[in-house]
Amino acid sequence: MIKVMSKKLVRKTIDMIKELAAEAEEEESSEEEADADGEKKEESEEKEDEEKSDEKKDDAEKDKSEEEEDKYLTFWNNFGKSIKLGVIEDSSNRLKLAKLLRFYSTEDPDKLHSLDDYIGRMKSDQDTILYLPGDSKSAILKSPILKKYKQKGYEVLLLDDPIDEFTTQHLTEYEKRKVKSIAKDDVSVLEDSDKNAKKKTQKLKEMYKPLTDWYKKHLGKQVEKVAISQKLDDSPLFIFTSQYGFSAQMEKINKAQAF
Amino acid sequence: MMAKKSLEINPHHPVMKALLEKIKESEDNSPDEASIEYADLLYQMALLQSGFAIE
Repeated sequence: MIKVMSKKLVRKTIDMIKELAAEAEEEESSEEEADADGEKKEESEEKEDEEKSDEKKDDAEKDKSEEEEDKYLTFWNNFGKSIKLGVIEDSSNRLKLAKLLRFYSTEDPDKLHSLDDYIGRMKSDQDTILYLPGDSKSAILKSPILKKYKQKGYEVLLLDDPIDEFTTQHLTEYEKRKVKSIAKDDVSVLEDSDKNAKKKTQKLKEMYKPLTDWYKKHLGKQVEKVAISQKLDDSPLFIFTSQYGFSAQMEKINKAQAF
Repeated sequence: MMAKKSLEINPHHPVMKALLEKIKESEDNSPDEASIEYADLLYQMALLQSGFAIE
């Protein structure tokens, strides 16, 4: 009985948040997105604790009336974390909640963007939603791997919140597009697919074999492999993490946790 | 728990080209002290830039 109630409550909250977001869109699209995110968070929290979520809803509504313009933004700033948690824990509402997510992106680092915005700006040959996690926005923007993506015109989401990476890992797919970190070694967006380029890469690989072999031997167990990269612009080397292993950020978080 | 690191080098970077030459020049495929030190430095720099902590 309580389960049914909480389920319905969550749904209603999500719908309310969506409405809020839609209203905001009419006013300003970016604000709307933020609001939507906040609603989703509320929903997930409701599921966990009905009373709590109701309180959150009330709060969000208060925010809305107080500052119509910054409604969604305020909502996202206050409850964005809850929505992110919702994406992680509430698998049945994950897609709905994902629509409410807002992130910074290379397109305009000062504004929050929704995943739908991102998809709308995606290049026609791009099938992956790219993101890069880091300590802070400015630190991420300085990352050497970001440069080439920017040059080629690919938009990358900047995840400066430690929870963001867990969220995107649980999301894995949005609107049939894979969500991937550009700090992992399985992203192939920048790789050339035509035969000539492949031959060239092969040649480079052979040419550099003495160096990669030596480097691997020298570093030993510290690295899994040493390879030739096509993703770098003006920095000599970069350390990627494997698709299924820990990322740099997660290793940091893990180390900070005392078990 | 450690992340599985995969080091990727930029084949178009002059530093990497120079390192390759050094290794090619050496007889037993091990470059001189200075180059080894430099390679270590580059690796640690990359660790930091990639968001890892230096051990």
